Amino acid sequence: MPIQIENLSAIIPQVPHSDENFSSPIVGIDLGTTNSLVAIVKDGKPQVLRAKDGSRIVPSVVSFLNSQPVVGLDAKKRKVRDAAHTVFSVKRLLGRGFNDLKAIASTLPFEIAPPTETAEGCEGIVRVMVGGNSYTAIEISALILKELKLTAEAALNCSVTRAVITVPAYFNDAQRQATRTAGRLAGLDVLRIVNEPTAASLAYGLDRKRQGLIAVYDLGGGTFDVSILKLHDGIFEVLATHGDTALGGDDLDGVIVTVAVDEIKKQFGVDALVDVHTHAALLEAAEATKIALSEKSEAVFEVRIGEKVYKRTWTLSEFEELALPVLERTRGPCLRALEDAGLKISELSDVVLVGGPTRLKVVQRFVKSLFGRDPNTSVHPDEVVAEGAAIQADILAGNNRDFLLLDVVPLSLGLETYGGLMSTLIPRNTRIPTVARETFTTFVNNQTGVDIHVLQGEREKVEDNRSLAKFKLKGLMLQPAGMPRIEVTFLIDADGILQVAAKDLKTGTEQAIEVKPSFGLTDSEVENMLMASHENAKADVEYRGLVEARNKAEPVLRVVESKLPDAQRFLPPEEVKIIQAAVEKLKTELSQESAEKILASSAYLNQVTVRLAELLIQETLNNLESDSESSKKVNP
Amino acid sequence: MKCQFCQKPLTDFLSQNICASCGAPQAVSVSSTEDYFSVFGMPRRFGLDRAEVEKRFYQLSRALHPDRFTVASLDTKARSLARMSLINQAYGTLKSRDNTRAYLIKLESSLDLKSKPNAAIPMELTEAWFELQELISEDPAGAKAKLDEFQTELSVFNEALEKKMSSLEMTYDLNPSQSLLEKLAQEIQTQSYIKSMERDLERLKKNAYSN
Repeated sequence: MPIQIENLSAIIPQVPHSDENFSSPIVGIDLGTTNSLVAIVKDGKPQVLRAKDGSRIVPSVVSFLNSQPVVGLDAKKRKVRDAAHTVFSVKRLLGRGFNDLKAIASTLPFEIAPPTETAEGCEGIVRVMVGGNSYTAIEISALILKELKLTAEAALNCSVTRAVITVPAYFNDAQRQATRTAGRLAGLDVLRIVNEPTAASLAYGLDRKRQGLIAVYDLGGGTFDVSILKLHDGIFEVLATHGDTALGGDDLDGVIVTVAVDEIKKQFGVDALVDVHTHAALLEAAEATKIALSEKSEAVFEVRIGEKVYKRTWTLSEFEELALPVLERTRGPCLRALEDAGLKISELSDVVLVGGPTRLKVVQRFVKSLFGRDPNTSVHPDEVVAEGAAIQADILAGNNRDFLLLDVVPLSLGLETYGGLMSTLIPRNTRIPTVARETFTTFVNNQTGVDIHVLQGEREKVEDNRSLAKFKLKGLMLQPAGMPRIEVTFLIDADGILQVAAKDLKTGTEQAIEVKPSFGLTDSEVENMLMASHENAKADVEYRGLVEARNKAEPVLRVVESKLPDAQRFLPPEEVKIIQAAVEKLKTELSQESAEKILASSAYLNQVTVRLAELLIQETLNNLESDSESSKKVNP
Repeated sequence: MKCQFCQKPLTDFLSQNICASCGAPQAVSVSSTEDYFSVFGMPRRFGLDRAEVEKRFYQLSRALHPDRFTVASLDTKARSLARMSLINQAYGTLKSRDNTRAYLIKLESSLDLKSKPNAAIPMELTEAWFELQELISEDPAGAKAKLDEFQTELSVFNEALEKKMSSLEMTYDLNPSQSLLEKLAQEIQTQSYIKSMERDLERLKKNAYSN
């Protein structure tokens, strides 16, 4: 029997209500498609927390070594090297069902597990296949959040259990709930889900001189949002928001990849996307090319395809020409947001750019042409969202009484009515929290119950909108069609989470539910995962050490192996034998589970190859000298 | 009016939402006599100082938003949530002239704005519209200019309607009467008919001439 949601408190480590814990920090987290960050407000100023290695960014990448997870920079290093066991950009899958995936499946850099049959059909939760195991996007996201939690704990030197997490403004209810669940799995009490562009506006408006009507153009790795806000004396009022949850910087990499795949097919006659390693390498090279083009007018794109090398020079203008159609897709949402806010472009006092891809000149030029003004590039495009989340955390902690965020629902909410149509109870861009009530009736004589089907979206037909929940109000009095009066109440809290209640006004029978996503995890699944994660906490720490050791040792092994032929030229056979034995020893240890032994054999291998390294360096130097001498002779 | 908790008198609109003495958000009861005007402490009339409405909305939000009650008791949290929902709904109505118009008519009369009596439909426009629709199916190219012309005609009609409603509202604010509300209700129905015609026209133009 699955445990009800209330009982979860028995399993999740809850923060007891004592003064000590109220002073424990609430962190702000930007859980991004490409990168994630954690920040906190200190002395009134938001600051992004650094990891041990000094980096502020945790790449949203998870790699599995013997089905144990590694997160962040260490995982990113394995993106191409161990593509089969590494996942990234999973935010694109959060809260999505199989139907949502059809459109984007071909562009996704991972293998989706086939849907599992359920009683209601086969549209269950989407799972990613990684090295023979399957994981939900929620679990992967939880691993990233856990890494951020550890980063914050190390930086602040105290335990961190409460957080504000940002999501794209245009995320629907299922995607928001999925993010919440991921936080819970990571051992975080998620105090608030905040919209990314709204969070960015908080950091932007920290300087109180910045007032008036602004647009936040937020192009992230995988999502696009635009929000129109009014900033007035510490109040941040969202007037309207729009977006596209399947459009981002990844799509700009995509245009480069598409060209590469076509040309590789022509040149070598192979489909480069079949092999996961090649796919990952293409994506990585495309991202590097895109970034290089933000500073130079040319960049070389190079990828190894089996024995051959595909190489191509990209010019800035070539890239920009292909990027424009992608950016053009942001025009509609921007114009609709302005229309919903009841504003003209000329009334805006500033346009703020957020998200890594907005560094590209082509994006800045596009925004300028769209809004007829130079966009504001003064905020740090990668960090401003995390900073804003930290400010909202500070507000919720009661430390900041000057600021207040007033947000809206991004998508309309309603019910299925007769004829398969959606009847809207709460239109998009309604301020939250809010409550809406409407009375419905029956269409058939002597109906004993009615199905309440909760929907989210802007379309007329039910099937074009997202189904959030279905439940039945039973126990109606037997009456002719049209006689019963059923009152349905929608309640949205400050988090944007919906609660629905239906009441038969004749009998007083009532049925209330908290809307749970159709493609989320069931409560019992969450509970099982939580149990497992608490048992594994110690093992996790040990495992981090093991992964770090492997990441150190593997490059050493690769270099030595590649130089073994040279060793046979330079060194006496007995010394070569010693090196070969050291290589074998390290290989054996790498397949085992001991971090100390891996580090020890790696150090030993380093030691026995010192002379080889010296000889190789000497040879390189000699070659250089003879090269320059011969060039002198040719050209006196 | 007295605070539901400390019984001290509630003297202004802000304290009627959240007691100035004990700081308790006041519960929203179903049978309450509160309406959107009273929540904002604004006079019950069509003409409102909308800058003042916005100012009061910010004042109320600062005091009552659930973000201000994260460490309060569950009961207080629930009252802040309910009150802020009410404030948001009230603001959504009072900041817009159209919404205030419909709301006040509903509050002060038993008129049903959703029923559509034929009297509200301007016959000349309706006939012209039917003829245009036929013309489009027969001769799309020739209908283009006529469509644009009709669109202008509709917006002129709308402007006149808006003026008429404004003057009805001003008269009502000075000297309220049911018959004025009835006239206003009829104009609202005409307006919603014209607006749906405008939407259909826009859609038709898009379908016929987008390529």
